[in-house]
Amino acid sequence: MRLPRFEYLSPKTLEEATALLGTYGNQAKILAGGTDLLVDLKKRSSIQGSRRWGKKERGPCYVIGLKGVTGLTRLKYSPGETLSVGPITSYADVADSTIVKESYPLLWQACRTFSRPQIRSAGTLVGNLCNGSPSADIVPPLIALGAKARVISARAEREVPVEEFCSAPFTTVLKEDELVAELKIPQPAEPYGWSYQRTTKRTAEDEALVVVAVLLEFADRDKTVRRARIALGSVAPRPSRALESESMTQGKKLDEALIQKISETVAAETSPRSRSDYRRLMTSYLVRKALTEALGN
Amino acid sequence: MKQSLELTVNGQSHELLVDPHRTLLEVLREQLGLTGAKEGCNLGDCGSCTVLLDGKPFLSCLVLAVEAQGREILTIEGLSQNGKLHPIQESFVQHGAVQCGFCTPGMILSAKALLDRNPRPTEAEVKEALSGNLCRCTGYVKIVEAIMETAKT
Amino acid sequence: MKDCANYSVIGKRLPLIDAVTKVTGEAKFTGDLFVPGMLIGAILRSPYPHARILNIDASRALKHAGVRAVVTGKDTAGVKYGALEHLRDEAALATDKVRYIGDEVAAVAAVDEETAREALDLIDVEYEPLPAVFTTEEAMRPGAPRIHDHVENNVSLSLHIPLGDVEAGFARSDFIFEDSFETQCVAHCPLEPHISLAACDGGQIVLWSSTQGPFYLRRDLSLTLKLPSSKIRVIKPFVGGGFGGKREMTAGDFCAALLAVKTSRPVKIAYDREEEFSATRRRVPMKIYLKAGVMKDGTLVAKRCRVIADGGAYNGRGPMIVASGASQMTLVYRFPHFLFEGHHVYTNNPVTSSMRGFGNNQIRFADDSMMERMAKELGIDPVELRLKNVRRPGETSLMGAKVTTCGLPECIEKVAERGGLHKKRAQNGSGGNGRQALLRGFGVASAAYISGCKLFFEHDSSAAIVKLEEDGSVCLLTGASDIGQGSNTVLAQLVAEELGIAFEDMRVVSADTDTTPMDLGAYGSRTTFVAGNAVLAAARDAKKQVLEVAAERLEADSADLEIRERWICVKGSPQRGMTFQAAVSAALNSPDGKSIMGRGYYNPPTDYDPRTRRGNVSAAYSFAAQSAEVEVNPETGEVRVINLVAAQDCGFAINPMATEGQIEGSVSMGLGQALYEDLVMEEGQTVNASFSAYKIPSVRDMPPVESHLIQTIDPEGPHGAKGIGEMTLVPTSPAIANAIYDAIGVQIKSLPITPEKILAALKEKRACS
Repeated sequence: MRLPRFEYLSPKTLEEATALLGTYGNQAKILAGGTDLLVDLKKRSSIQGSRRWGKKERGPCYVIGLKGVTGLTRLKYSPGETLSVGPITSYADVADSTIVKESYPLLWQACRTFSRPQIRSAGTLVGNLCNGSPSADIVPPLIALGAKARVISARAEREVPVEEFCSAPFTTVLKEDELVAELKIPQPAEPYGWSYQRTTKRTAEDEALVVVAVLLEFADRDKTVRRARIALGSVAPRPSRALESESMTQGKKLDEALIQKISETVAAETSPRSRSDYRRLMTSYLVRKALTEALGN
Repeated sequence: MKQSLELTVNGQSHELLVDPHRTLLEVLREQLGLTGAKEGCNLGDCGSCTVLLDGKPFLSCLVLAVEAQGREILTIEGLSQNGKLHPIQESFVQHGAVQCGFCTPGMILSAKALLDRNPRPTEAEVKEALSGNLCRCTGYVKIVEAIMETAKT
Repeated sequence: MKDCANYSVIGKRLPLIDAVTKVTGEAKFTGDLFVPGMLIGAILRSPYPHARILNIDASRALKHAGVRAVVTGKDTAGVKYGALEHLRDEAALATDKVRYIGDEVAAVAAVDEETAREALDLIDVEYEPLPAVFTTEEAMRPGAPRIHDHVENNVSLSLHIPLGDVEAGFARSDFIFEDSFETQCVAHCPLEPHISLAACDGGQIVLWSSTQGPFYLRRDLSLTLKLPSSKIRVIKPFVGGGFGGKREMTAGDFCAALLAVKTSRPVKIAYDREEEFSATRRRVPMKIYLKAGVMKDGTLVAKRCRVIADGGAYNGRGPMIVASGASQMTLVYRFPHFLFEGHHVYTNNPVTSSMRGFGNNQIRFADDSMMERMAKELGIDPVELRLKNVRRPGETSLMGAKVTTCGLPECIEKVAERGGLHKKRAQNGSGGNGRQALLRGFGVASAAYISGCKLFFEHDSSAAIVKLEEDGSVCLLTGASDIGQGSNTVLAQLVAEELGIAFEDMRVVSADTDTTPMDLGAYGSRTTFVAGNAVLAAARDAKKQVLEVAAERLEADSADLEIRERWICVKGSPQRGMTFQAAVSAALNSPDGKSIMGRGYYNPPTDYDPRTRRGNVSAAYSFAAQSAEVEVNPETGEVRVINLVAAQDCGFAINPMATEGQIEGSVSMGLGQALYEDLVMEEGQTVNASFSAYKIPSVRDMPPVESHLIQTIDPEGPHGAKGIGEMTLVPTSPAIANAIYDAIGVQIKSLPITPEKILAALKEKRACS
């Protein structure tokens, strides 16, 4: 199984990168960590791949690698405001950061438990987002944290909330000539609680079956919920928030009965494609676990 | 079109002409004759092709050779020095952690990446560090033992 | 019983003889070999589950720059290959029809892999799609499309084996149990996929292949290439695991050889992981209907077993695997009346064939599951029920297996005792901190296995040569195939022990059809037992020769001499001696320049009647039991195996560390079969053909494993050793299944046991109560 032939372009700045995207459009692909793109390209050129995707479809002619872009931010933190995550920042970069560990424990937990060590070394948060997978592990915590993606092209620049970034399975709002230059993650308001729950399809190292990320911002030390975000992955065509469940927490103190009620409600907010009954059940189970844990965290 | 590049592998630098769609695994095996990194799945699932880049474990089947420039690449061939096995290698030998040997180079490099950062890992940390390396022969039991034993010494 | 303490090399936990080569990355697997001028081959596979090939036009491919040759089914001249002549149904490349998605149609050789893959798209194959069948029910239905013209109803083999009077047995029984079980299709998943490299050299075709049996492979190549076997040399380099999946010739082997001939260039063909999953052999899934008659006190009286096996598109070793199930049913537990009915059925699925356990896993899942239910419903302790009916030494099974040594009772007692201890400890520690308490369960299962068998040939032989070198080292030439299980190490230990030298003095050359003597290959758990006896014979022959030389020098009778720690001396007078090296060197540096080489072979004394399928198929039988403890989350259906205790009667463990390695590896494979692994098919297409979709256990899935070796010192085995490599896998999934049954109170009768199945079972249980 080999990669198809392509031309490799190595821009020195993000402006150059967007210029190249502007020129080549859908014939070009941005390469960050490679853990999704290179797998996808190899599968396309494989025997079954050619069956599955039709013989004629070839991979992109141009691959634009961002590794050569100078001065790219890995992580930049403005205390009390935002964390900025660059376009080639890896999971390992985040997992190794004490600042993230202290100020964004939800993100830290998701990154350090993400996949396997080799994938964490190479894979990037932005890449995970741009791949548009419904089961992207890192997107629910980003949604729970209210992260925004700064999208640039040669023409313009815009900000897209991460929860609006994916539009359908493996489809995002990114246009052919755009790339994500940065993720901006606001600092949650203290006091808050959080939880990250994930279960796999079968084995410990498997893809996610259900991902739940919860961020509860409390009005006071009494833990009355001021604002809640419950983000789900792998249970709908795209990672999304359980809005009705969130609203049930508004202004409330979570007790066992309410958590139970929410966990029942949340199942109805999912629309899994496969193993749907089981995914719904696991969503309820994990949301219950997550809310309980977030109260303590 | 081939690109010229310089790779630093096991402390030696190599000047090469490489097609940009070549993975690091292909270049190591086919151009540099370093066949210790294995092709088990070529899709980043099995870990047999694991090498260290600047001390971190990477799947060389998912790294473009052109993007490995400027990094310290360590393969299994670079681990023993002057014919003397690295302690992890020695421990794998002594504890029966090797059966067919196909996953072994990747396993050992994943273990090295861990022990270099965390010389006294818990068993759970060892397992986490090996979670990207599949083995079908050993059931992992003696591999974990071998690494825990290395960490003790 | 021999005094094991007197051994100096065997019975020791020695590292593998090639461990250093493997940890340094020096070990060369077939893919690591690069021959000057080498071309890369690739195989064109059928996109249809069933279709007639109307025409193949390779002209566009041949015109593609860099393409050197194309071969198609025409080049096979329709020659069929396989183990047993009457079951041969497969050509190396499809000729008239394709019968599964992935069936091999053509192959190309080109200057590099990209070009070869591109060329595949340029081979124009005209197919006429035919109706296909994907289940055994569909396939056996009257009027179903015929997959092979000569086989009616797609049943390639039907067995009917009545022993005793099963109906009378049922009539006499106090209770009757009846159930159906189903096992899934799983993949071998060696980390090294199949790969072949062929080159022409001096009028011979030399093939390096990732094979479990080079001599077998040479035989199939000789047959399909229509060349005398002397024109073919098969070399087995390091092999990255096999588990039964590398027993048979592949299209890659054949095409590499043929393309090398056509191009006069070396040709390498490597299967990628997707091909490995979707187009190589896999385990035979079985539907097993079982009926058992039992007395109130738990004594088994009669069993009836009906097996329907999905063989996929070709026989492979499938029919023999069905037959092997009959032997297994009668070997583990005793009962006087038996009726076995087995059907091997063609479907348009990929071919199912040999895999570690060879049919025994499927049968034991059904049989030991039923034993568990019997115990629960009769109110007998499951361990006691097993011990009551367990095979004992000195007995002959209904199918004719003459059991000499048998440690199964001890194995069962051991796992019950050790597993029970764990169980007690766990119960003490378990609290009810969840909303619903986690459910714990404990289960046991047994297994028995052959040590080689004579199912395929008139013989089951292995031969060896032991060369004594001038520097006192010894080189063993064996055709036995080390595929990672460590047979080179075990065989070297046997030779070193016999010759009284150190393990470090040994070298092993393993598996080259031209330079090593014949061995049938790594299957049937035969290597330690059969090849072990062969190398012992060769070592004894060499020892006799070296002692004769020493006797002359020491002016003693060679019968009075012994060798210990490289020192040859008169027994009881260690000072009257010389070094082993000096004796070998003296022989060579004498006027007759004698070079000492010992030779030997071994063919197990067995008697099998292929017509009745009865007889003593193996010269020794190994036994095993395992216990598992699980924790089931009743809310999510998730299962965690907390610990696994394994006890094996391996006769004598020549290398206990390697034996444990077999057990631990089996546990991970068995865990996969019990809980995770399943090749998902959609209309003949393998859906989960990658390690990301077909999950084998990773390190974090493994439970702690406790191994116990029960040594029964078999009189026929080399120093009492018996086979172990496959048997260790057999009881794992039934033990886990029984533990889940114990935990949730409902038996799940199909593998793998998924959370959904558990939740459904619990729901049904609640509805009933």
